[in-house]
Amino acid sequence: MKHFNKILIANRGEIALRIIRTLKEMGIKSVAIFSEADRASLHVREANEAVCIGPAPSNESYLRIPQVLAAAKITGADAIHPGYGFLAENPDFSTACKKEGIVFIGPDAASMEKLGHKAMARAIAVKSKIPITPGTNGCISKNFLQGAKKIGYPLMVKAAAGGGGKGIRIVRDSSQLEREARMASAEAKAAFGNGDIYFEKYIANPRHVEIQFARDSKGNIVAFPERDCSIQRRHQKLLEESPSPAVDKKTREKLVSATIRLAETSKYVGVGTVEFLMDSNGNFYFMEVNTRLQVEHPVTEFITATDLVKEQILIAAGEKLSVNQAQVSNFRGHAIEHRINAEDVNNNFAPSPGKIEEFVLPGGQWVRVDTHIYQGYILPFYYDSLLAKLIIWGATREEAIARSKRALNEFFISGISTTLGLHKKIVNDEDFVKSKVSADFIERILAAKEISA
Amino acid sequence: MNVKTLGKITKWMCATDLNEIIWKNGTNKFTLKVNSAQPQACNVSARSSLIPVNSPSIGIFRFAIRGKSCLVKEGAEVKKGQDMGIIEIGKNFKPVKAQEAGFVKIICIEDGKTVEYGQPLFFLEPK
Repeated sequence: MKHFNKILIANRGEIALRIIRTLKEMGIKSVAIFSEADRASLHVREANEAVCIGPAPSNESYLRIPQVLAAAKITGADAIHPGYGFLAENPDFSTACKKEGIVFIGPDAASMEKLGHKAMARAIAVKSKIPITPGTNGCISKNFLQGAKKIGYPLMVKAAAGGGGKGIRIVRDSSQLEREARMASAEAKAAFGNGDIYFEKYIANPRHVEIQFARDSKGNIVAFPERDCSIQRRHQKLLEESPSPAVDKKTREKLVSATIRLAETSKYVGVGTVEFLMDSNGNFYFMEVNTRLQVEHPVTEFITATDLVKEQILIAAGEKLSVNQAQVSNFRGHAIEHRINAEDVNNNFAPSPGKIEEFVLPGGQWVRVDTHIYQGYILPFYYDSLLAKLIIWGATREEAIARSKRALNEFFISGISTTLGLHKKIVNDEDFVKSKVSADFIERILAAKEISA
Repeated sequence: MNVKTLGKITKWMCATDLNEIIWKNGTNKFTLKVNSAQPQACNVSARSSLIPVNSPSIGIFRFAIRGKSCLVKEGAEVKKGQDMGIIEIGKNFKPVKAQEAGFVKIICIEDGKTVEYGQPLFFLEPK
């Protein structure tokens, strides 16, 4: 790899470590940045160099563009990988890197703005002949009732700049519309600095499927088999699998070709994901595009034998993708990812920071754990509660579920509350095994019994 | 040796970090051991009366903005809140301020060197 000598990772936690691992394998030096609260994190230990960029709160450290760029300059990094979250989908950051002569490993600011803005992305989907859920044409700022009339109830009020399940409100009838729309806009303004909202039809009991794609600067496109992320709690994904048990070969081909059309229309360069909603008849609708590497990317890596971080680096270096469509379409087996969070399930998922007293990792055949923690580590309370990702591969879905059960039972964490117990419940649930997952699946599991961590 | 004196010695011993003393005077001899239930945790922090002035940001340290001279010298007196230098973060500047009044005892940074957030730059001797 002649293009990059040293890459700075503008992130923390498991994803920073995940990226460092690929850099090591590619023979590229790594620079970690950290806040004062993360001095003891594994990503700091594993990187070739590490610099402290600020105090614990992320808006004074990981989110500060000048500080991150100063760290890159000081250490002589020639590229920055943003991971997910923090600055990953911030067009200003992408532009600032370019100005400083540092390569941003991700799409350019224009693509990010186009596809990250949900209403603009919908317009691109229409242009790419991808079905979209009935909704407003672009954003709406007045005449809410009129706009809603064409869509019908129930509908969703969504923040154009939102993401990660934030900024979504469900409106069941016209009497609540005005109030909810105004509140959603005010919330969006406060949370994302942009108060644009739009309406979209609410599909009852949808499955959430998404297609990972990669496009290099030479125009080569690869769209991977779908991931199913239907198991969510309050729009936060808990468990993802690939392929989706609800998608047949024909539907998969349609999803893949829709994604390829969108990547071509938007001339996107980088790795991204197109999210779809699928109803019980297998009809799918475009939802949004994520212009970053996603938390659940390892399930795709497992069944297609691809390193997505490596592909991102190749694309950023102006090189060709190392995989082609035929290779990834000919995927193998089934993968499941469990997101293990430091949260107290019995106390409304309240974050549970503290000292990890005991930490026993699962292992063995086809088990992968991505985590930045270890025994004795003190989990800071400043950041999100993702503790570890347990990723399982099996030749079939049944085998993967059996292996998940086995690995979840081996996994032991004490000192803090975790969602391990919830995952054990999920994999032992009959509806999950039969893949009959409805929107209230998690609520039903939670109501069934107290869950031990 | 009377009990009163022994009591005084014991009391004094508890005030120190000694664990055992042996006293000899000709043929007279006694040994005192402090009976602490637990071995005391080794809590030796290098106690210093000096106050560190830490870097407020990652960046490049400068004693002064170009065109201005630097007043910070070893032994110089600084007021609380006084600027002791600046950190260059790209095109932004952040002042390094003295948290307390005092005298500059140690300067552990050179002009133009890169610094991390929280890195000590100076040590002040309080007034």
